[in-house]
Amino acid sequence: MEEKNYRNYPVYLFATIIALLYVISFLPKEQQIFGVHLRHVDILSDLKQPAEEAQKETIDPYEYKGEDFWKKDNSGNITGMSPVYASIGGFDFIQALISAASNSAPVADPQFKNQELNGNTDQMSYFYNNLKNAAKKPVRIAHFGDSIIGGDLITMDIRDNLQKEFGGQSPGVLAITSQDIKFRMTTEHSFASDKWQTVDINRNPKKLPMVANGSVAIPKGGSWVEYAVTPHYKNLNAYKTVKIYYTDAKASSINYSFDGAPAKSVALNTNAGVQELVLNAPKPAKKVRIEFPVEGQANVFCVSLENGGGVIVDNFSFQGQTGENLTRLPLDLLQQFNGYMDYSLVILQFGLNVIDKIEKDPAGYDKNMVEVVKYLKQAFPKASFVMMGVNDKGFKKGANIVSDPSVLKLLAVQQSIAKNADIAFWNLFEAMGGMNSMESWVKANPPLASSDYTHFNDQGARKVADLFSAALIDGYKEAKNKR
Amino acid sequence: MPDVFERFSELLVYNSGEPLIFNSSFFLFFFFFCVLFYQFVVNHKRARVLFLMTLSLYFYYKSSGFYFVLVIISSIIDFVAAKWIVATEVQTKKKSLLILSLATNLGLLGYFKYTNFFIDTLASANIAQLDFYDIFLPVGISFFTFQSMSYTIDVYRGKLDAEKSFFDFLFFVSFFPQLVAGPIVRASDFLPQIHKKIIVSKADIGRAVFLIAAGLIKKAIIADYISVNFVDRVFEWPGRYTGFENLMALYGYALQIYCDFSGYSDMAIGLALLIGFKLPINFNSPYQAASITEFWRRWHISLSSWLKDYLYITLGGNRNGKFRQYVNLAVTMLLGGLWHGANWKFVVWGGIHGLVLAIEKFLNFPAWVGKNKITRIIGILITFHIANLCWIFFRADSFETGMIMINQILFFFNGSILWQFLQGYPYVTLLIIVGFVLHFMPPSTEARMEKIVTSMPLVVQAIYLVAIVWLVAQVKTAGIHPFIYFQF
Repeated sequence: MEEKNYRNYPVYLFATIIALLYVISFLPKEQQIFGVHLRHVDILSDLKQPAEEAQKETIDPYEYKGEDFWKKDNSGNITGMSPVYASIGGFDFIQALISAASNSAPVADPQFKNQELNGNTDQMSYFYNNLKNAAKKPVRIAHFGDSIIGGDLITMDIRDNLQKEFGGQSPGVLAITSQDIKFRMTTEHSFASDKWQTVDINRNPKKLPMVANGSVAIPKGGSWVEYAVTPHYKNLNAYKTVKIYYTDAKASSINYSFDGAPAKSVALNTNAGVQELVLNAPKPAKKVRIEFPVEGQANVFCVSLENGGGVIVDNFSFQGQTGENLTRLPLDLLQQFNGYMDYSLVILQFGLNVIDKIEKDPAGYDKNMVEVVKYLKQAFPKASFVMMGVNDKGFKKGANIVSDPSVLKLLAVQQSIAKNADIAFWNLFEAMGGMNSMESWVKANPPLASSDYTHFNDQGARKVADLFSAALIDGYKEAKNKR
Repeated sequence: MPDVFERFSELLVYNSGEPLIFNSSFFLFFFFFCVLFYQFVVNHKRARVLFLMTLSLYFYYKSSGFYFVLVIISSIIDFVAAKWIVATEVQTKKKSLLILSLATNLGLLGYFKYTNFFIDTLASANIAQLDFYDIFLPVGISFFTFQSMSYTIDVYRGKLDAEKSFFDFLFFVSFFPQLVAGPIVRASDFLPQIHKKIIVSKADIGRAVFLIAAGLIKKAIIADYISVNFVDRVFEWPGRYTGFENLMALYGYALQIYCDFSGYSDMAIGLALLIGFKLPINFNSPYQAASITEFWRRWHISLSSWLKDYLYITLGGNRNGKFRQYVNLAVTMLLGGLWHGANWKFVVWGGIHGLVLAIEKFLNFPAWVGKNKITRIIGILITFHIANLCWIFFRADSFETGMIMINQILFFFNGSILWQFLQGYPYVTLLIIVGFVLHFMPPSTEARMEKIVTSMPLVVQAIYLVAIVWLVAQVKTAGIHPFIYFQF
């Protein structure tokens, strides 16, 4: 007997599959099961009109309006113009499922756009004035940010650009221990990892003292740390002075040595508050080694590696942070630290770590960050402030990478923060090329960002720094011409 | 409404950068159309061959544009060459016809795939500075040229009769399920099936559904998710991750490349089964191998057996003494490496495999691992790690990147971040574990699962596939997870 032939079976099977998928496409667009957000699946979406759901009815106080946000009406109040960008939504199935070879699909080159500073640019004059006198008096800049500036990324190139324009050869502040030593290009940093106890701002149950870099290292005895110049940034080729910042020292001494010379000993100051210990190199040195022989000798904050005056930009990277917890840094210590540093400019570059949460409570982040700026203004009372908006971040829409819709929301919130805190704002998102620009950065040759469509690589960080430095220098020149 | 038609017609034409792959919804409609109209022609041999051949060429056009003409030209030359090889009695004439056929296939492959590689090599060796040519790499060219070559060589060796009908032959070369990514089907396996009555049994259907589902899970869920969200990043900047993360990324990549490749093969085999054609098995749980020798009997079987039959044996195999055998092995593996892509790193990859094969032969390692269960487990662990070591150079952008990775694993391991890793990458970890657990299932479990799928009624099979498609869509569009830097 011949076996039954099932060769027409696939017709019924695939007809049923298509019918089922068609039914699924009528399910509600937003679904959640056990807290997991489910995506809408629509097999026919390629044939449908695009952006059907683009119409929004409710008025959103945080709708991104591009740089039009800063336009002013006749009485000088900042208005908001009509929305520049349509909302992003929907999901097309065909695009979603084709992906294997789309890596080879050509993507346009990045379209950089020079962006000037916006918001309250008048308060930048303190910084600009100091820049003018940079040859006589050092100009110190504090660059606060999240992982986007980890390992001195971006900061190092802002520093490089400003030092080329206004002078300066110092890398600035470094922590005692750090997670990013492997990829820090500007300083070769090494330390006895088992001889230091490091506490950072995130986990500080004992409320240990801290200054702007947000961590404190306590020697376990026989602890050492070494900093050396690298060949990558030719400008930063020597240290004349190394300054150590610490507090709560026992009556004891530390040892230090420049370029492997025999170690010298120097006593710590047991006074309360932030102490500064200045080590002068007999001649410009390539390397410095500092030893803390005694256990619990002091709470050591950071060092400042300096080679004369000019512009010094300090990199304060707070990985995984939104910026909100900067108010956990003790105000009195920040003020004392600023007594030594005398910051002229504070740059704030946060946002990536709040993107996922921003839709839930934009007003909350707005309020918290305005508080942070006010707090930092108390700590650095003379300084000018600029907030750098969040960079574009890729979001997979089918096989395409588009701007994460939350980036736009966050940008609107950040503009509002800058406005409410009355500081300057610089729009990195627009400078990158605006909408959907991250994909072109990742696919550029050489690539400018990494494949998480979020972080810049060394070349990309250089580009960001170039665009931002250009804005600062333009602002400076404009201010100079006005006078 | 005309918009819909416009969009529809846009979908039908070739769009560069969007090849037609099985896990696309366009393919779903394409295949439905195929099986629907297939019913009208299935009992007429000529009609059914022409129908499937036309669809296959369209499939190729959709992936590579007008390069589908290449498939036709290469088929004409091989078809005619084979015919003449059979027709003539003169040995030298037979040989020159074979060389003509091989030269055509290797010429096409060489021009489209390796021209810029050689220009680059000449330039970096400071021999000559030439400009790169702007050459499009037609999809699947490595596969159909090899299929075609197996035919002329077999005819030359007298193992196979020359095919009488050109359309039958073109159908064999272009058959869409295996056209883009294999398996490499032998003419001797496939041509006889063309002439037979099409019979699809219930077991075939069950196996097909099982394989398509497994392929989708492997390719579109496991491989795609772990690559985008973890593996790619570590390989991009291994120096920024601890050795532990590097090792996890390496294990992840071993799983990813297996799932990616074998998943696609599984889908091809399943789709072919649904229209009544049986393609050879291409992967047989390769990481269960206890030696590299065995690994190559389980990994990309259609390629390794092709290389063995048509390259290694042509070179003399093991017939000319021990030394020549090692040389033949090395040449086969080096060229086998180069087949994977026009880059020296693939040659290095093939070279290390060839070296290990030779060492294993010398030490008689495969026999040792076969002694008992314990030696076999030791063999599996060693083999898995050798394969992984080779994957480093297969995947890393450059030799330096590969060395950084090894350096991180050896000297900067930092296993203490395990807990943070699990918290930071829960889904990646889960998928890697699930992937390997499935991989190490005994064959009997797989057979049992296949039986369960076979016994499902049609609607349940459909729901099963839809559920997987739905899951694929969820994974595909999940947001990209940003990097996580751990404390170290």
